[in-house]
Amino acid sequence: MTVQAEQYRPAKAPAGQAVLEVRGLSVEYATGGVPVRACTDISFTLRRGEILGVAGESGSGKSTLITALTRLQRPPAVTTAGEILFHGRDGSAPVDLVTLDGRRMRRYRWTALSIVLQSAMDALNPVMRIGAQFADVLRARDRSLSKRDAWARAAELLALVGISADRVRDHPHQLSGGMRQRAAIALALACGPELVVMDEPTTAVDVVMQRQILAQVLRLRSELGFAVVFVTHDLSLLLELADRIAIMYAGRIVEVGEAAALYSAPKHPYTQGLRDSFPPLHAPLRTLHGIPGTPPDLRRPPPGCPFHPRCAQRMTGCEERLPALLPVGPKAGHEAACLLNDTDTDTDAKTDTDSGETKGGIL
Amino acid sequence: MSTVLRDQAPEADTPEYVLEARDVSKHFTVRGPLGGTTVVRAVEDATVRLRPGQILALVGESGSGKTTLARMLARFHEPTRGEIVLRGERVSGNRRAQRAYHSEVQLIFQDPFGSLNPLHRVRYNLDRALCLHQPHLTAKGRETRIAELLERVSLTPAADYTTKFPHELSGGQRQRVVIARALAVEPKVLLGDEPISMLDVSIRLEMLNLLKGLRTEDGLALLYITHDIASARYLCDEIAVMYAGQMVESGPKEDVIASPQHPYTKLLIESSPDPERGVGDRDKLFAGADELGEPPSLIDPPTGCRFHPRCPFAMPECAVEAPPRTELGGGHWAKCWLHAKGRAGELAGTTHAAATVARREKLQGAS
Repeated sequence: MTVQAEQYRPAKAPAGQAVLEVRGLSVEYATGGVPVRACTDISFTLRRGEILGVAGESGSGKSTLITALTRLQRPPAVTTAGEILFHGRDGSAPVDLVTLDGRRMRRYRWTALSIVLQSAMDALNPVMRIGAQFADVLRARDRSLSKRDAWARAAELLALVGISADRVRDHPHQLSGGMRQRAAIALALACGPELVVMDEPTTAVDVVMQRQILAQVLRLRSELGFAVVFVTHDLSLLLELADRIAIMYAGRIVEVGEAAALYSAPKHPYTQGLRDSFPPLHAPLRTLHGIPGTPPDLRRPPPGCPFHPRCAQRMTGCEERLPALLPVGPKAGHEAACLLNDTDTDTDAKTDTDSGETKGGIL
Repeated sequence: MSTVLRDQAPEADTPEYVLEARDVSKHFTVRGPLGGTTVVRAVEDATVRLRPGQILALVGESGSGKTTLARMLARFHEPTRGEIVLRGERVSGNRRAQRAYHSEVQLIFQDPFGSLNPLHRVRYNLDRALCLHQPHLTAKGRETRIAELLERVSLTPAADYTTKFPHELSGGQRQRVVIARALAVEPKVLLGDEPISMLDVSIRLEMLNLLKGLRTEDGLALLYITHDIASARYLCDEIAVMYAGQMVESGPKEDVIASPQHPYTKLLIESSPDPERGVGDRDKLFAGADELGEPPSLIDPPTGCRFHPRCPFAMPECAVEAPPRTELGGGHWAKCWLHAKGRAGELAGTTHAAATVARREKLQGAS
């Protein structure tokens, strides 16, 4: 009964319109001899106003993914396959960000998509006043804006993130680390983007400041309605923040689903291990073991499922077959790439058909 | 305040504690761009005591003085006031005493990438510590000891690791080598300054389990410095909380986490991610959390209780006089005026965010 009800709900609710559709995205680092595949066959859909969390360890490809999404990647990183379809709010036909040339891409920066980087100190210009940096961005998008109005707008934007207007004349070094990060978020929102990509924006700040920043992101999201891709290594944080979470391992999404479903019923052993790597704050303590071993070297990825050398629930076939990302569990949109969930043992599943299934299944 | 602490000091003279910092303060003099000098009061009147086989977690925001305190305990900084006491004896400053001190107390840094010599193999990195602190060992003896140490930190087979350079190891393996090097001198106390925060999430627990093993099997005392309260709870016996250079609360971990008796401890615990408190109810979870304030400057710290500008429970006396230490039984104490004024019950009934909102509304209503 409950299962039926849960399945019914997403269909009944007005399905959020997609703002970003990523299809089979692969990114390689063309270094020397063998190219290193940092992202392989990534597909997901981001709905308008949704917060998608991307969690993974270092080397899982999460940073590569967001530099590819925002077209900020530099050689030797090359997008070798796939498309990133961006649906503008005006309802026009989606554009593929991968194929846009630099000049056309610039039209989308700040106004359609923007990014918040991990270190605000490096993202802000140290020799420009905060207000001038806002004015730069604002006036580049709207040439009719006067300098005075741009500075006034900068003060308004800083007020959005709880920074008093008199700090607009400060240089970045005069702000605390938390304030700088909040200023960077305000800057990313300056031109009303539809999508904000955040790369570990709270890793360099304390827990109290982290909470403030997350609360502000949530508040601004409900006021302004932008969608967020939030990348972090801290799954415990994402479980509280994100609507949906994608878990990355060795350059692939191994599980994606609603935050609550992912926490209560993870379907991939890596997600389980990651979830159990965070000691509880209040629940009874027991000895935890994390995940033994280390992430694979992407220059020499293991055959089959990339997680199998570390997996406690490994079975025959894991070292040969690469599991596809398939729907699992009672919740719609919950998908995992693990043979454990393979009920009808579809042995002729090859990578080509896999990606086809993924495309169909993710919507 | 310091008199209250000093009253406690004599009982600590029993060698029950292996390492103590008694009322230590550290002030740094910073030269400004115009030649003027300012004093940064990084740590003020902090007391830390470590029993053998005990793990004490020191938690607080960055800039709260945790690292400075650890560096004083490691004798990298000489305290401006107060004293460091090893096994009931005051530590003196000369070089020979320093060497003897470091064979008992070792510091593990946050960054395993920066604390191993990148030009030398693992064997050399460990051998240096043995040469300096265990001069009686022969070359052969050192070689066996290196193998033992690597096995102690689960880098087996040891022969695979001795010939590796630090860059050939993963972050977790490197931190294990750092711990093995600290163990090479057979210390009684390990000071871990955020030893796991640069490691990947999935391998942090292995490191915590290793540190736990060193305590139970080798009887080491450990000071675990962190801003992650959940990992502190997993590893330690007691928690001490620092704010703006001062200790504000300390006690057995479950007491402190389940019922924090200082508003700052409460804020810290409520700010820590805890998926179990209800995924999904996000608006409630983050309500009021977008204005929690920031720690003060330590050049010109607030008068009285240093937390009072951020505290939703602050009273007039909080801004005037530093609160006394209140013993709450079972080794749990806090420095907060709420206890002296009989208002401590208010802490349990609300959250920091809710109390801040309520206070703001009350102030607006009054004006």
